[in-house]
Amino acid sequence: MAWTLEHPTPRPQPIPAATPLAVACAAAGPIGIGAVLAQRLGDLAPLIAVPAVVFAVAALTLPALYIATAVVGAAPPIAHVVRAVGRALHSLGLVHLGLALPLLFLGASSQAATGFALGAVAVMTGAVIGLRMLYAALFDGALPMTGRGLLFVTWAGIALVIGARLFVELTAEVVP
Amino acid sequence: MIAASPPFDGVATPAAAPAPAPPVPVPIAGPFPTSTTGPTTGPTTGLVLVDQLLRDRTAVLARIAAGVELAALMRTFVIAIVIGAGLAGAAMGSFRGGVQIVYAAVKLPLALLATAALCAPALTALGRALGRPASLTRDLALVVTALATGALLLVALVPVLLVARAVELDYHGSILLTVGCSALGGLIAVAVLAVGVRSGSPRDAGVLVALFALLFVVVGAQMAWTLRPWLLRPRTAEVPFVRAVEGSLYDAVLGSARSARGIYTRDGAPLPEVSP
Repeated sequence: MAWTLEHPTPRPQPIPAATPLAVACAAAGPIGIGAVLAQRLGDLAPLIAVPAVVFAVAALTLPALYIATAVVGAAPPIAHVVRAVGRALHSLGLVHLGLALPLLFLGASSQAATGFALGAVAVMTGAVIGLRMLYAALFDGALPMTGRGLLFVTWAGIALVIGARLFVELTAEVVP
Repeated sequence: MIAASPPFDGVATPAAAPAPAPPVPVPIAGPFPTSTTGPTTGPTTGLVLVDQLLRDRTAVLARIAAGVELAALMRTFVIAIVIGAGLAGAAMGSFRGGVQIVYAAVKLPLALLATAALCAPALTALGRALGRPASLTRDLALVVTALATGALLLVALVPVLLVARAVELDYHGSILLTVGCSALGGLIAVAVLAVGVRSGSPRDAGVLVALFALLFVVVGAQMAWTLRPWLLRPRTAEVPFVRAVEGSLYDAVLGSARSARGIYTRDGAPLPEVSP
């Protein structure tokens, strides 16, 4: 079941390389949500915290996912994984960009604590959709494999917990 | 010369009468046909388009999917929203009467259109993020179409609101009735949106509709809360266009939940009596 020439298996759909616009979206989304929260709370901390959490969690946890899936024979080639991660971050950035405008209105017309909570929900929504797209980019089109979904869900849960903890740590001082 | 001229009574002689034309087949399947005007037979506008929205939404959604004359479509439906929601708003404002009728008639279309403007880009972004084909113009047209359907349904519910006035339904009953009518309009709008999203591409359509509907409800409810009053309490002396911003709907819900448990945080809130 491993990705070898001797035992060819149906591979996931090839993913095109990320365009500069996709990279810009991946970066601009978390920065946009962070900027909206920073504006509402009157502190720059969220502007740094949101992108830091997104990219730090990705950097900290994705190697573990690759190693674990490779050990069980479910990992696509490394180049495919890198592109899948790029697509997932692109999706996450798009969600954050799309939610920035509604969040700006909701934050401006709410108390600061409510605005912060809604911002956290927006960050989490982007993360969940990014994870969903990561799974699709990694494994759509590949042969079904027992335990692969469970492994991914477990990893995703751990990544979300780490991200939530980091987000709370970085914004604890500015939350009303 | 005289004999050759036609008779003065207008009755033609049998020899000169033209053969009766064969009956023209009329492409009507029933007594009340749905419009069959689609993107291939030329885009419709104005009242014809509004009629098409009510009776043949599939054709309207196909037109949006094909991207045919979307500017004209949006123009028509924005006008439908302004008029439809304006009428429904006026009916809401009739609870208080006077200038509140005008205020509510202005604010309800404003609330719908502002919510659409805030949320439509999110529909495109969410669609793209989920790997669907997405276009801001098409998505905006779809949102406006869904809202126009909801606004037209609200017009249909105006008599219900007016009956409530006629039977002098109290303030809280009127609030509940208004919320119920608005929720019904919103449900219809979401249904139209769901069909439109699914017709664009079935990929993750359910997830997209659920996420967008949730966002739209949250933003729309907050917009309505920000632009209140809609009915106006009877004891209110002045009629404001909007109240001062004093927190969100969600803050108010949380505050009410705390108050229900006997936890009062406002200085002016009535405190529970302490029995000796």
